[in-house]
Amino acid sequence: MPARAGTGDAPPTGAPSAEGAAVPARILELADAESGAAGERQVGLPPDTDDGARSDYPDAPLLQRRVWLLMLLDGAERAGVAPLPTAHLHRLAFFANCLAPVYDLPVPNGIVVKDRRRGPYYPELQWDVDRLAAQGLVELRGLRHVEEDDGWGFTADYGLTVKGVEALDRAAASPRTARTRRFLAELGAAFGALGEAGREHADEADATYGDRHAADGRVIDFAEWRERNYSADAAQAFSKLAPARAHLTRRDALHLYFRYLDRVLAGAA
Amino acid sequence: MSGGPPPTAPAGQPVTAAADRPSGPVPLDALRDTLARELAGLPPGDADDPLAFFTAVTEYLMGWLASSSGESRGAPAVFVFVDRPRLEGERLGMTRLPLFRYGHEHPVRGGVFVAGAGLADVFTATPAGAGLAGLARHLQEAGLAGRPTAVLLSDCGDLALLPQGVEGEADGPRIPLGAAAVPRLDADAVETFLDNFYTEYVRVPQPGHKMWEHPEHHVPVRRAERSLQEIMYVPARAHFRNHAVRQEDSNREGIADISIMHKGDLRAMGTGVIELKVLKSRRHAVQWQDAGEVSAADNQDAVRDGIDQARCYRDELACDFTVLACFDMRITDEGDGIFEAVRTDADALGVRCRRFYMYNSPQAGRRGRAGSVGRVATKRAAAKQPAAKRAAAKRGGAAPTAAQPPSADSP
Repeated sequence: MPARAGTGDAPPTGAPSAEGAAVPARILELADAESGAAGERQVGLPPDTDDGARSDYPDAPLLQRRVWLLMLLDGAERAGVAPLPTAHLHRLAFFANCLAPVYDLPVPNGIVVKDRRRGPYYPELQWDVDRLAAQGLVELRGLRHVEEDDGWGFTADYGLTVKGVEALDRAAASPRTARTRRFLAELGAAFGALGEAGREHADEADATYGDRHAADGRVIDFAEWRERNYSADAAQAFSKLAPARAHLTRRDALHLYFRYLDRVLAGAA
Repeated sequence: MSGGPPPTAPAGQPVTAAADRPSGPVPLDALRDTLARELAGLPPGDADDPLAFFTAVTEYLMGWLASSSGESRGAPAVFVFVDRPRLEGERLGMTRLPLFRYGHEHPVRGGVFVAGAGLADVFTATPAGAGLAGLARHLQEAGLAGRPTAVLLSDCGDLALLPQGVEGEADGPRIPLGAAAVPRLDADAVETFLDNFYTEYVRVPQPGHKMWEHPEHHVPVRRAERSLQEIMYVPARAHFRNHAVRQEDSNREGIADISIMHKGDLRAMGTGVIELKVLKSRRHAVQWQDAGEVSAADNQDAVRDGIDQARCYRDELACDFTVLACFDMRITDEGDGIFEAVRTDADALGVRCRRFYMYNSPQAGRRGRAGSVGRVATKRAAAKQPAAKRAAAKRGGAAPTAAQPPSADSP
């Protein structure tokens, strides 16, 4: 999948105000920013209307988004499936978005464009991960240029660097961030358990992205303006279907949903 | 942005049950099936929990040892649980074994294996002058001596679990992976058990195992299926000693007669359900003359119910297989014809059906063992009798229902 933002295009939404060496330092201080001006908001939320203005750090939403991305990559590292190819990274981000309600977390990004050929793709995320790579927090390897219908782009494999781990360990120290981190670590484990083929096609079996009512090329709004999150509904339905004596945890529901995807892809469900 | 978790489907409704939603793409049956089959296999701990790592290593090595004919003998292997295997592996200059757990093609012939809980990509190194002491020294030098470790011992094939690492003082549990193999429990193994049980316990009446109220008239005891289950329970526990055998295992769909489940022995794979049915010609009665007749349709219904129950209990208990065992107490041994009408359904549902004819006396059992000679001879003799004589014989016969043909296994 070509990463349009990596070719020097303008950022897809907004413009990061602090790039280069200043941003890692801000990331290290994010835990303080989160418990202060960010108020009740949790790490993982996308930039909102005026949070930036209220924050001591004008780019706090951007930093939160990037810490969330580092945590997403960390989940893949812990699961032993990193570095992640570009397509897998976006696919994992999609699942992190639509399955966040299973852990009672807000949905960071409730819309995605359906693209049967490429799978889920988030321009903002691509912009962020490339900048994190430039800052030395994310490792980019296996850079490959590819030509698509709309021009040239590149794909690569993304993983954390040691510097990224150190930054994340400090930035993600707050209890609220820890909850998101636990979710993303478990998500990485469940995603990693799919196997190579499963990770390649998991979105096709997903209840939201693979819904045949959603036409190719259209925006799927599962949690932005509408609440039509079939994936989270399905994962949470396991608890209701379980025998009374079997208490399912959120972790169980998450893993069961990925087992369900695996069974769909294998033609068993 | 989401204002909180979306509403979930009420029990028994489609997942997207809200009235303003289109029909969702996930049928509840698919989720229910996934739940039944996958729940038992979920990792027992969180992604960063050593318990999940130990379980994954144990299961992998069990499968690997089973398929590699014990190639690990000769050199110890050490599996170390780290938070981020790629970063550790690259830091230590180890070799990457991609997609480690998805196949058994990677050799485990000694060395250090660094992995996360999922055993997805594993990094390995074989330090010079290995041996267990050499591996421990290597871990100390690498700064991994305090990490949760599983050691595959080369001499006996045991797996030693060290939650505090090779430097930890506490000894962890030891799993005898290399001990005598426990064959995987499957429907064939259960059929073998049923064959033995049938021969030893119920083929002919045995003292202490009462199945007949009036054997000479083919009248079973009250609640014959429960009696059969109680007779079977102890032999089943003895036979499946690596599993937990339960009687009357209740679940949401009903009560499974005999279930054979895991009990912690990680070598003992496979779980199953035995559903018991008794086929009868007569119902129970204290006086044999009061014993009512059981029709062929009733027996056929019992078989159909048995198949449904066997399938439901297997799914509900997330077992690997199920066997419907029909113990046939009818007057005549009519063979497996009763399965003809349900064979297709049973096969489609994955239910193995077996029938065991129970003789009502040792003499009948001996005749049955000799083959069908006695039965055929008796039928031929009956056919040669004049009709009036046959009618008189029936009227004066022991059976309360005159329509029954003479039985080869009547005393």
